[in-house]
Amino acid sequence: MNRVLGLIVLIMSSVMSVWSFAADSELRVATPNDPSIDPHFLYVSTNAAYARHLYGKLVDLDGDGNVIPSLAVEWKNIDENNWELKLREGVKFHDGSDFDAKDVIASFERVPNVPNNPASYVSNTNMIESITEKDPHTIVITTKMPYALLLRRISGIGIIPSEIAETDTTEDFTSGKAAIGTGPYKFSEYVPGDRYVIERNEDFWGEKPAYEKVIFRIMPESASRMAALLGGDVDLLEGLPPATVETLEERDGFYVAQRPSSRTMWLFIDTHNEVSPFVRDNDGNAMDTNPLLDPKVREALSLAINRDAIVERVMGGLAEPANQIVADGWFSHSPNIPEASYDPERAKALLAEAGYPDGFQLTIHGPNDRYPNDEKVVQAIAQMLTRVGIKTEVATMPKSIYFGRMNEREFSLAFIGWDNGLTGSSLMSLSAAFHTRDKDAGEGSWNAGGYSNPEFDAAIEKAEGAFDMDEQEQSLIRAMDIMIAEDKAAVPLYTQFVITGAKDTVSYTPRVDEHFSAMAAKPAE
Amino acid sequence: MTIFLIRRLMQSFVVLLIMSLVVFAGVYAIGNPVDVLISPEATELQREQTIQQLGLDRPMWEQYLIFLKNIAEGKLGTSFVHNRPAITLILERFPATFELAFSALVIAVFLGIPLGLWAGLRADSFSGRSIISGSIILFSMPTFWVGLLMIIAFAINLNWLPTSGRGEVGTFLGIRSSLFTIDGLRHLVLPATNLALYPLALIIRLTASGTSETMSLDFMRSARAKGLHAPRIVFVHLLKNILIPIVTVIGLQFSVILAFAVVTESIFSWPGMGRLIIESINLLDRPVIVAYILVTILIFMLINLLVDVLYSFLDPRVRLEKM
Repeated sequence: MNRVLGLIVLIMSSVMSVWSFAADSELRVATPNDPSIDPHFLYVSTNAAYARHLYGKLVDLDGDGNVIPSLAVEWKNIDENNWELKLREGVKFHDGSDFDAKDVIASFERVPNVPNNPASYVSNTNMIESITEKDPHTIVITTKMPYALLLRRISGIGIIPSEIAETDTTEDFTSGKAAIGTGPYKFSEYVPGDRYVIERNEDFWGEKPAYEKVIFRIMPESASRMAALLGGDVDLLEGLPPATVETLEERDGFYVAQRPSSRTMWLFIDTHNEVSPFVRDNDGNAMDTNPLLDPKVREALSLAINRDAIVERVMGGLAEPANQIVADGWFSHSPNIPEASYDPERAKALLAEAGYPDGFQLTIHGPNDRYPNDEKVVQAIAQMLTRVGIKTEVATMPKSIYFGRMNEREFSLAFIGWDNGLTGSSLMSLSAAFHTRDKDAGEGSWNAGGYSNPEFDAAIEKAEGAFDMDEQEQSLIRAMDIMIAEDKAAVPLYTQFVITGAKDTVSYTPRVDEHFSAMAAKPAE
Repeated sequence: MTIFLIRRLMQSFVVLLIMSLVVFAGVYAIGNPVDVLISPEATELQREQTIQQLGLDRPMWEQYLIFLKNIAEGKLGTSFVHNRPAITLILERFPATFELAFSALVIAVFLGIPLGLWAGLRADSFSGRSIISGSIILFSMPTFWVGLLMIIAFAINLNWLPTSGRGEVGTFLGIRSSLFTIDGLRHLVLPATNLALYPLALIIRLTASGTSETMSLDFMRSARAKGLHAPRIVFVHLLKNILIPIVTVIGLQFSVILAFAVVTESIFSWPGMGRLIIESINLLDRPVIVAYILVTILIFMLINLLVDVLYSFLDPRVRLEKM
């Protein structure tokens, strides 16, 4: 009996005493996202972020959202439709083969041809007519029309060796066989749903990252990620819920790395339906008109919302109030729009002027698993609207249902956040979410409010066609002025912060586009 | 026996067919996967092309027929999110779930039966009563809450065990499992214990009530009158007689924790099948959801079949032909 007990004690103590010490050169990250190793499969921002580690692009965006050279070292416009790019020489892929123009062409050709792809990267390449090789290290990209944002667009496309691009499938990438790029890290191991391990590419052409090995631990449950960080199992935590920021900052040995991101939140207003699906009169009966069609009512909505309170009390200070749908300091931010003010009295007066002195009933919709605190923000807004007489109910749902219904214009007032990082301007959000929906022109694909104003549309089309950046900016500012200041077609709310939980031993600088990057981490001094 | 097996298999086939229809209709009703997955920059035209490419523009009955046709060819569909066969994704995660469920069941059985016997034999003693009330507490506490408490206590505050994840995987007799490495076992302790709590409570209660019921029967009195040793009475005559309900419950519980260890797997970030289904539901990865449910139904049916066969060995009165 004693021997058995002794054995048990021995086993227990050996089990308990094996501490897992992480080497200094190892970075362990808790992330909610499973990666797609294939750089051309499933275009969602988390995959684009993972791809930056393994795959080089022609040009990249730095942490502040500026275009920087990567595999292309310099570029010039032959004319408005032709771009000549000089490729970096002497770059090797992870398998030792040389990088040249053929690899670029083959990679771009693969993008639209990945089978079974629900979210293709093709929106980054479909303005390209052709890519031709001038010599092994010079290419010419011809666009279908003048396209000023080409460089930002192609920053989304990872370059892989031409042999792989021509033959290999997504499965080959997942297994690691085809996971070959020119990036600062090399593929090491991927266990779906568990871990993704990458190792430093010692032959990388640029500045080598600080950590030799990065282990992404895939943990969708935010409480588990938090536990892993506090328990010392990981060094960085991606996707920190704002509610836990305080807990983390109070503990010794941890901090929260933060900065305003490129994602601005706003409310879509149903400016389309003659009878809005979720607007009712004060007795709860359907109305035969849509009060939201009146700009005065829409202005009242905006005036009723106390953005400072949302930022301080719901977001815990981790956001900035917004007066338009691109944040201050960004290209195409309009200086003409006054700060969004909170004035419930004026809101009530406007409602009375519009013929609704006693308000009406409304339901606001939002997702409950998409943005930090999304559900709470929507609830807070409902209370604020109720206070000025618009008796507002809240309905939230999982994103898997929400966005489809929203885009079918089934809601009267709907919460959304838009990342302006890729274009670095308001261009994408304005053209996709506010231009009149036009399938053939590819405009308004996310116009869930149904806003339509020919003057606005003209300004957007002018901006899209403009090759001169100043001209483009002026058109975008004009469009924003029409849509927000004149028509009040949406209610801008706030710009959220990107927050990352970290151990004191790691110094991390978040990227403005919310992409996680191991290259932005280094040991703290 | 053979007739029984054949009949069972035919029944299973019908159940699978009906369930596939139910699941298909349910998944179809939730929403359109393309709305969740497509990038916001995609134009309306690209969106339509994608929907067409994935075959989501066809009416539901047509999609279902295509699905059935693919199954006949041995294909269960390809994941939208991972672009790999759904069945590969599921099988790839099966070992992790299996070792977790297996360890949990071992804990539940090897703690539950002795404790239950003790509680049944000494029903009026303090220890017996404590065991029974303890099992009620185990029943009533929510798994996720206990799981979080365990993490806070043993992983964060005491720092004895890792907070989550699956540890290193070792190979023994050609089987790859984290049961064979110390690191793997350290990772397994908390989630397996967490998952074991409910079946443990169930087994304790079943064993205890079975024991106190059987001990008062005539044949037990004769056994004692014959002067048999106490251990022989308990471990042969008693155990054999109370084992049937316990085996049923173990079988059912095993399928349940195998198929729906979702909560434990999420909290402990265990890379098993349970998390796969949750993630697939969140992203509306239809092929994986359908394949997963069909696989779990298959598991349920196999384990139930096994339990029925086991019955006939444990209790000679049970004749499989008659079932």
